[in-house]
Amino acid sequence: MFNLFFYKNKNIIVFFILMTLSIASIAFRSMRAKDLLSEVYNFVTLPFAELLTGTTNTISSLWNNLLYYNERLEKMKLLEKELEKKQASFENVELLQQEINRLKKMIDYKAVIPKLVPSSVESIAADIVMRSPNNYFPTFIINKGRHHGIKKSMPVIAFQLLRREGHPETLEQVVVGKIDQVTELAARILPITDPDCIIHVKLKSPLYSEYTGFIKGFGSYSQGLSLTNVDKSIDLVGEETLINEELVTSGEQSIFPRGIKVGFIKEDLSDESSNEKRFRVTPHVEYSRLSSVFVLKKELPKQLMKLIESMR
Amino acid sequence: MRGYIFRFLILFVSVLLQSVLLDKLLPGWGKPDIVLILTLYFGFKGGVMTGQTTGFLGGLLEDLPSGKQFGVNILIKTLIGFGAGNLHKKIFTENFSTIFSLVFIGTLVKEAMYLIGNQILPDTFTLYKKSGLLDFLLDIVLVETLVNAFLAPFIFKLLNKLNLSLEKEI
Repeated sequence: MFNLFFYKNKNIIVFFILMTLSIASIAFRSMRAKDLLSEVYNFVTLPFAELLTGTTNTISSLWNNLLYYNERLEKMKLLEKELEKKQASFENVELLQQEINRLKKMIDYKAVIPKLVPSSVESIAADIVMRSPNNYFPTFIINKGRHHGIKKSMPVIAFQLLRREGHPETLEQVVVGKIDQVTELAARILPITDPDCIIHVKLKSPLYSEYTGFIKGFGSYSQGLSLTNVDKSIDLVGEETLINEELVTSGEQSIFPRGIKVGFIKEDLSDESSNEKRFRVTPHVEYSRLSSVFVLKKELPKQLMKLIESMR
Repeated sequence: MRGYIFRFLILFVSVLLQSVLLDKLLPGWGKPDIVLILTLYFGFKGGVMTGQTTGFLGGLLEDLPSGKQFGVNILIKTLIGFGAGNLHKKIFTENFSTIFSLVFIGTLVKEAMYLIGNQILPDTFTLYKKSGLLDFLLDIVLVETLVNAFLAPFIFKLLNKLNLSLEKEI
């Protein structure tokens, strides 16, 4: 009787079972089974992901090298001509040297990267091997995990060439996010665009460097960040506004070392009635161009970690 | 059993392609949702059970690398698989325009579910705040819907050729 009932209604019964499982997986955020599944998933997929990433990287770097070779050749020719001119006039040689150094730096920036990581903080270099399969939630899986010394909540930074209108192109350290989940051989990064990734920052300009605030993502899709808790009594010089002001990590109340670039102020969202200033911030990190990151070996005190875990 | 293994493998490869390769080929937004296309295909061809289990499995594989949004894709893809399964043998999915239209509608339904989910559970979905709705509609909904719809007929043809012995399984 029961068997007949099950056979007749198997589609609906299975549908309800699957629905219950789906809703339960959303409702119970910190399930042990989820972590276990992630561990198995990373273990199985990592070799394939590494292989695919490696192959695509090789092909794209070959292509880039080809393009770059031509570009470099042209630049070299230009430099040679310029050098001849400079040598002839024997003026501004120092400027030319600086230009050559800048170009060299751009060419070999990968080799320069390890030297730029703050020497006081130990770091682990990692490659992004997987990204979120869908368009909605930007998550990144790196090829280093517990085995390599990575722990939850460790800060993640990267080096990127910052291109902003009216500013010279520079290679800078930028905040990427925090480690959100760690398995034996891989780890997941929570990007700064996520509302759960909160970072204490300060204004970089020496005029306003004592003003601080908290950076928080607007949402995984929105890409922008919100800067809140900025003192409303901020004294602006003359007619100045804070638009385009640079933001860096404050080093206080945070695991991020001081002075790492986060983004720049895009828009003032302050409300007259509020007793704090709020801004929209454009992050420096460009996730689509990111391939390697550095996990800084800085941890929250164990008691604080326990407190956060218990709150979750 | 062969059908199940085939589906699992094809879903696994699709998720891997979406996570690794498509991100490099199409950096930023506008990646096609191959798992959704597969869920619709298996639903239309195999019926309710095939559609919903494919959706569930595909959603699970998509959600495993994600963080707090775990379960979102499982729920949405299972519902879509169930819906597509109910159209089994009711529609003819062999010509370009039918497949295009069905996948176009299927993707819109998925996007609508995300939008509704974002309204009901903003802390879980965290897609955008109020000001980001227009960008979301233009960049994600429009682009992904069109990309999926154009890609689907080719994927359907490829899967038809592979002839996964699905009919026998059912």
